[in-house]
Amino acid sequence: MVIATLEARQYRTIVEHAPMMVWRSGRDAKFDYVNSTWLKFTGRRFEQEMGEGWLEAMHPDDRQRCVSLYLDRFEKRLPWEKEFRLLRHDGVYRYVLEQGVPYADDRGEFSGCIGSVVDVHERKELDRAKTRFLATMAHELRTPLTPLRTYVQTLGRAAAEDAPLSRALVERLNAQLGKLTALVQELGDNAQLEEGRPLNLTMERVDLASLIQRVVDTHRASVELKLAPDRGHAITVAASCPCYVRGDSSRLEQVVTSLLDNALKFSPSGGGIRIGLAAVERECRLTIADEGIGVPAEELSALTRRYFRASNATEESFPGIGLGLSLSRDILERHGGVLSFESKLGRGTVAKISLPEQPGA
Amino acid sequence: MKKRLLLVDDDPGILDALVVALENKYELSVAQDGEQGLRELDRGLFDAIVLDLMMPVLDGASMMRELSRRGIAIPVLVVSASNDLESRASALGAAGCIQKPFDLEQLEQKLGVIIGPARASAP
Repeated sequence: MVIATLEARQYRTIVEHAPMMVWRSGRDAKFDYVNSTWLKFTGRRFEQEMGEGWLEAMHPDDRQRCVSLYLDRFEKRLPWEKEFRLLRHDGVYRYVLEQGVPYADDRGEFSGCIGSVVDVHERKELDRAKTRFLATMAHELRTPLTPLRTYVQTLGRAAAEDAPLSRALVERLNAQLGKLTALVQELGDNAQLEEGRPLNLTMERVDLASLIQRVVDTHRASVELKLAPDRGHAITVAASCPCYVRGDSSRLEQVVTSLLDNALKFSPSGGGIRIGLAAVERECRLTIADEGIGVPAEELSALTRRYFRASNATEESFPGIGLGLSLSRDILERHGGVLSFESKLGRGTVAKISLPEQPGA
Repeated sequence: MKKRLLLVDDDPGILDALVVALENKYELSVAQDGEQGLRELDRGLFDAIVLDLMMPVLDGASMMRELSRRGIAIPVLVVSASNDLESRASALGAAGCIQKPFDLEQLEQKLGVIIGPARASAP
């Protein structure tokens, strides 16, 4: 018996210090125990959780569903698994996963249930972000397909009537194909990074000043080719001198394009975009400042997270797949560079890149 | 007289492709967002509006609410790449809807249902 008591004490210690929350209910289906991990999570007292008290911490919208499932499984003496939101000590509802099983006393008689609960909030958020991402992706892929199809059908009609084919139309069709290709490339890059395989870089000496000019020229051409809307933005470039880095020219161009696209997308029509470049303390510092909607301060650090979308950037108004900045960060880090942001809500955002300068000719 | 269409879409490629495809059959005006669309409506009379839902400044749904607030009863053909398009379009009171990427003939046929056949331009 002494051994049994010792074992029981040891088990209790294990349960008390387990990283998961643990509870137990009696024959009346009411709580008669929660471990200290549970109390640390909810920030409540043991007595408050007993009986049906613990239900106060469950999100009101989840209560009915969860209580009926629990009572049903309790009645049938069956295990279960369910997710619900539980109020953490800091007032935040977190998604948790609960697994419950019936248990018996020494004589094998049903005595209640034991549940273990883990916080799965991050995983849940990621799942939701991925679901949203897939829906957005389908939308973004369809967008260039629409003009492509219409251009092709229009050309087909012209050909059927032996009418002259418009060269400008073919150019615009080709530009839409390029847009679709870039989108698919971005998806492929993202998949490659998610699998832990780094992007292939071809390193050479790159002048950032001429790279910026190329990106701005490409944007202007894309307005002509009907790839980007003409919303009358004034883009100014202040690049005092050539600024050399060692890097993959097309990847760095992808980064600057992505940052410029964001600046344009989130700016009001006619808003100014200022691009600056300077070499300071053996670093090339590139900034892209817009007069757009800005980013809430608490979300700035999450901007480069994969699939992240700022809370004020609704999908209805600001389409995009949410990969540009995370890819940009990855590319810059591979170059020994840093991507950061400063922002004032409703006033604008400054994207800042710093890359090690490669001095000499 | 050609029938008059207002095309509202934030994607310049779609606007351009539609203009190229439809300009022989319809009299067209274009707008890049809902606000521009409302301004075009102040300027002229239209037989139908071809309206995208996801747009900056003023999205398609908000523009439709504004139309009904102003008592403007021009039939709207909602065009979108979103998956639950039909239910959204009928909830908004659209005359019809068509999913991107659409077929040109399908679009013309839907427009025909809403406003009757387009009159071809006089030679």
